[in-house]
Formats: sequence, C-alpha cells, structure tokens
Amino acid sequence: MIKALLYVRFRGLLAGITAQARRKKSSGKGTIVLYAFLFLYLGVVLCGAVGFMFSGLAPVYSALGLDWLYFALAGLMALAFSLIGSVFTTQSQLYDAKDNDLLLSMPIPPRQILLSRMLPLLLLTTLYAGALFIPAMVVYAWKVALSPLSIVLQILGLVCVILLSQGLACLLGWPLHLLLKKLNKSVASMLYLVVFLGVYFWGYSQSSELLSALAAQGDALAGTFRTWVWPLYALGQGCVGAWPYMLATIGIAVVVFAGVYALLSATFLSTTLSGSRRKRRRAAAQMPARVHSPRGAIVLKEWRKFLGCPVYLTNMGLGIVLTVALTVAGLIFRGKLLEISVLLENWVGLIVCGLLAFLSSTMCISTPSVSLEGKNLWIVKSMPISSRDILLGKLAFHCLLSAPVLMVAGAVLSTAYGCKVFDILLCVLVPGLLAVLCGLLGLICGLKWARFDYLSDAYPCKQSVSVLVTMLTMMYLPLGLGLVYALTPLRQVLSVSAFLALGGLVVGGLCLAAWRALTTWGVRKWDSL
Amino acid sequence: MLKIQHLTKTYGEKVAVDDLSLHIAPGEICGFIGHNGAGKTTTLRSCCGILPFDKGEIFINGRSIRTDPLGCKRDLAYLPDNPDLYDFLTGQQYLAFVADIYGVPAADRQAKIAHYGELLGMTDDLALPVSDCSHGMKQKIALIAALVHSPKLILMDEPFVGLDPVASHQLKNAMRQHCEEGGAILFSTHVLEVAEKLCHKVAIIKNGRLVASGPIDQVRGQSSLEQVFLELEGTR
Repeated sequence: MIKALLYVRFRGLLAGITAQARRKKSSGKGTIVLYAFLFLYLGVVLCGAVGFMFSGLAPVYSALGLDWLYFALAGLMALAFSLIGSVFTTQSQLYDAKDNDLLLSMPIPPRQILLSRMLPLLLLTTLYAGALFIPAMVVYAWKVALSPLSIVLQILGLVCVILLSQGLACLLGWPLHLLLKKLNKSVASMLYLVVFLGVYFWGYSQSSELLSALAAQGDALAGTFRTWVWPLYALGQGCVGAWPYMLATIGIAVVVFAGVYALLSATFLSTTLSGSRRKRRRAAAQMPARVHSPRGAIVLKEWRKFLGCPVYLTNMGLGIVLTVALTVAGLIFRGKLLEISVLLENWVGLIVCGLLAFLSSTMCISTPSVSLEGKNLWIVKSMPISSRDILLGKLAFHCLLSAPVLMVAGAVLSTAYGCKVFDILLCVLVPGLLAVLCGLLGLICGLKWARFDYLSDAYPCKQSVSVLVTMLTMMYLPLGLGLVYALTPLRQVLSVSAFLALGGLVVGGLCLAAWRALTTWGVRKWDSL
Repeated sequence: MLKIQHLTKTYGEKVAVDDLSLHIAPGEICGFIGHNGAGKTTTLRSCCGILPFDKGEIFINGRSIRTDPLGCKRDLAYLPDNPDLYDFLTGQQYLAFVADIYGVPAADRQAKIAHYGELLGMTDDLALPVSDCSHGMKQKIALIAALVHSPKLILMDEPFVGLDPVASHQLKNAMRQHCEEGGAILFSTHVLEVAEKLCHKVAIIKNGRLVASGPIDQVRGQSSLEQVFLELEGTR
C-alpha cells in the first residue's frame, strides 16, 4: 500500500516538473535537460559558496583543537537552512494537501498516508541539509583530515541532521498552518520573502565580519554549545570520531523523528479534518456602496487578484518593495554615498534612472494578468465591456502600482544627491515612462504567449516566456542605451542631461508604438483567445 | 428575442454545430436538449459572444452578435455549466464587479441582490470568499449575477446541476417570472421532466444538428418528451 501511495506522490512531483514538457512534445527532452542544467548550476553555485565559507573555518578550529565545533556549526547551519527551506512545503503537504479527503475516504491507515507524505519531504530536507553539510565535509577532508571512519561518522551525522530537521519542520508546520489560516496568505508570503531577503543580504554584507568573529571566538562559542545545545555538541564530537557521542546523537534524532511521527499519526485525522473544515465568515451581506466605471471595476478586480494570489504578489510585487528599500537605504547612507556621488559629478541623474530602470523590469505586473484570467476568462468575455477597455484596465492597474513608486523614488533620490532641477524632472519622468512601457510590453507579451492550461499560478508568474521576454527587454533596453552613451563618441556631443532627455524621448516613442500595437493587434488577439 | 440562423461552428475537422436555426420570442422559455457533446454548450457560448463561429448569424433583440457584440451582451446574461468565478473575491465583491460592468445603479443593485440572495438562501453566504463556496453556492452566486442587471435574454447551461431542491424550485419560479415580465430564456438540460414542466418550447440537438424544435406540446405529441428524445436518439 505504501508503495502505491509513494508512486502516486512521486508521479505527482514529476508531473509538476514535466507538465510543460509533455504539452510541448517537441521540446520535452530539451526542457528536462534545461531544468537539470539549472538545478545543477544552482547546486554548484550554492555548494561552492558554502565550501568557500567553511574553508576559512576548518583550519582555524582544527588548529585550536575544536574540530567538533566546526561540525557542530555545520550541523546548526544545515539544520537552520533545511528548516527554513522545508517548513512551508511541510505545512502545505501535511496539513493543506488537496487529496487528504480522497485518501482518508479509502481503507488506508492514516499513518501510511502520513508516511507517504513525509518520505518525499525527507528527500527535500536531504537536499537542503546536504547542500550545507556535504561541502563542510569535503572542506574538512581537504583541509584537515580524511579517513574512512570519519566519513562514515559524518554521513551518520548528516542523517541525524536530516531527521532532526524534518521532525522540527513537522512540529512547526502545525502552528504555521494555524497562523496562515488567520493571515492573508499573500501578505504572509511577501513578508516571509522580504524578511528572508533582508536576512540574506544582511548576512551576505556581514559575512566576512561574521566569519572572523566565528574564527576568533571559538572558545566562547564552544562553551555555549556545550552548555546550551548539547545535541549539537554531541553531533560535533560524533563527527570527529567520538562514537558514544554519535550514538547519543543518533538516539536523539531517532527519538525526535519517531516521536513526531507517532504524535502526528495519532492526531492526523483530527488535524486534517479540522483543516478541511471551511472557515465560515457569515456576516450580514451588505453590498459595497461604491459604484465604479467598467474600467475601474477591472482595475479593482486586478488589484484583488494581485493581493489574493501569493505567487503573483511575491514575484511581481517584490520590485516595489525593493524600490522603497533602495530609496530608504539611499537616504540612510546618503552621507557615505555623497562622497562617491561628488566624484560622479553630473552622472548621478543617469545612475538613478538606470537603477530605477532595472527595478522597473522586476515589476512585470501586467504580463501574467492575461494568462491569469485562466478558467475565468468567460466572465469578462460574456460581459458588455470592450476588449480595449479590459486591456487598458489591466494597463492602468500596472501603472498605478509601479509608476508612482518609481517616480517618487526618482524624485527623492535625485533631490537627495543634489541633482539640478532639470535632472530631477527627468528622474521623475523617465522612470514613469519606463513603468508605462513595461506595462504595455508586458501586456503584448502576455497576449502573444497567453496560456490557460497551466496547473498552478506559478506558471504564468514565474515560468512563462512572456515574463522572461518582458523582464529581459526592460532590463537590457536601458542598459543598452546607457552603454551606447558611455562607450561611443556621443558623450562628446551630448551632456548627460541631454542624453537622459533623449533616452526619455526614445522610451516615450516606444510607449506610443506599444500603445498602438496593444490597441490594434492586442485587441484582436484578446478577441481570439 | 433570440434568432439563430444557420449557425455552423467547427473545431478543426469536427463539426460541432451544423446549420442550426432557432427562434425564441419574448416571454418564452426554451429547453435545449441533447446528448453529451451534441453541441449545446457550443451553441450557447456562440450566442453570448464568447465563441466565434464559422457561418450563420445570431441576433439578440434585433442586434447581431457579430457586428454589435457589446450591445447584445448588455441585453443578455450567461450562466455556464461550471461556474468558475473569481476565487479571490467574495460573493459580494463578485456581484459588485458584475454590477459595475453593467452599470447597475447602487440602489438598484442592492435591492436586487438582497431580493435574490434571500430567495436563494444566500444572503449570509455572500460574505464568504468564492474559494470557500460549494459548487451549488457558486451556482447561486452566478445566478444572482445573471439576474442583477435585468437582462432580456438569459442563456443557461445546465442551471439545475448542483442546486438543492429549494433553490431549484426558486430558480424555476424566477425563470417563470422573468418570462412573464417579457424576458426570454434558453437553457440546456438533461432533466427532461424539468423541460417538460417548465418550457414553452424545446429544441433537440443531435450531433450538432437540430432534429426537432417547436412548442412543447407539438414536439412531444401524445407521448412523453423522454420517448421522443429516445426515439430521435435512435435508442428505441
């Protein structure tokens, strides 16, 4: 029975990865190879970065006789990384699984359903934990010592980390599930992403100081581990040859994992049933009093879709958060950056516009909006609203969301860094025009490569050709213009401000051309969908 | 109210609807009957301007759906067989969206939604997100949305599927009332008893071709609609 359940689970996972390839038979193999290459690339980059970090610690701790601390730290990092990486998947797979009702209606013991869900999760956790722990093992073997016994012990240590991480992820998944039921999922996802990126960038910027501190404060750290996190101390000791400690670590990991499995098996039925019970917010139905124009109604609908779809919000809305963050950072570090900006003289306006142009390319809000109509396309198609109004409503929503943020950022940054009035004006206008161009181009690409047969909203938001083309075009167009100016004799003929104004005119011209294309070809294309 | 003339729609090699002509006058309820894949949904989707067709013409209240699609759509409402509504809206928000697109004044929409919400037992549930609604509840929301702008013609695809007996009864009443007020309805169904009791007219479609149509008494003659249908289908 468990075999059949695991077969279905892995088929589901495989279908998710290869669905697109199956639909496009001709490019199926190519797509799979591309995915494999991308995964390999990510793995190599991640393992390389981690290996580089550990290569600074291994010799230092070994010289201090604190080899165990090296593995305790590696275990801690692997535990944290795999926990962060897998807790959301664990929550959705265990507590929010769509087929819980179906499986529970069959004569399958709940513990087997649970096991069939936990084994693929264990595989995921292995990938996360291995990405941290295996480079640490390799670095240790390369820089310090290599013996068959230590390899066996360190592999056992990795297994312990995986079991501990999965056990904790399952335990944390339940409060997370309760929390997500109360919070707006999209907002929670966005917050998680912002916090994760904030911590990542902070950690990245502080990495050299952190590594120095870790290397310098080995003794103090060792004391803390011994006193407060004994399992990690035991893991560290076990990985460097102390068998009793390794046995103790295995014991702890097995007890935690088996205990969590037993607890979840006993409560699986009640937790999943309470999870599937729909939350009823019964309230006296009162219609919103405000009446909107048809195009206004489309804008409002797009806004609610944006807020209601986590993958849409986090992928296309992140650029807005980053623009605000850049502006705030620009103001906070103004003192330091002004010293550099003095050297740049009148190039500041161009640099501000360049940065904002890059950020505008990450706000392809309009691009997936066509495909995201999906199975709801019949609604607007059967209504007395013209295709032109629908498309312009989508464009208006894009512009309302992205243009003001970019324009305000342009105004604030150019003013804060002492640009002249003309340059400030350009720093407001050019990003505004870029936002409009991104919206128009996004809609054209969204119409050109519209797809309605996707399995998840992630496809139109993350994996579609339309988003890729829009993003790359919006990224490389300003870069290309900037390079033309920087690398050609145009510099001698035009001042930076004049070039920026010319760039603005080019973008404006492209906007007009794209507008024309959208309102003619785009309308016909929409009608044919 | 609805005039379909020589409608033909093909999907590649397959002829889904073949030279179909049908006329529904104001005040009439017409049942559209046929086996699965006969071409009912294709006809209904063509009538409401969702699906372009190859040949023929469709007139809604005297206007061509080809040349004046917006004018036609203002006069009609479409209720699909599977009401896929916007999951990210609540029932109220969805109805407000529909009312905004049709330009229904605030007071009018409030009165209508309150009336139909009460009639279908949905008043409280309209506050729920559509994603939390059952198939039947979505069907009711789609029905209220279809009625909120007082259309002249309603096109319904299997409207009784998923409705509880009370809601089914209320829907039949609402359909009758709509026609008494001068409106017209074309709806597809597999429940022949409903068609027999509710409709003034029936149209039977087989493999895309209209094989019988006319007033219900004329089509069924001395037998039942079920017998006529089975004979036309060649199963008797």
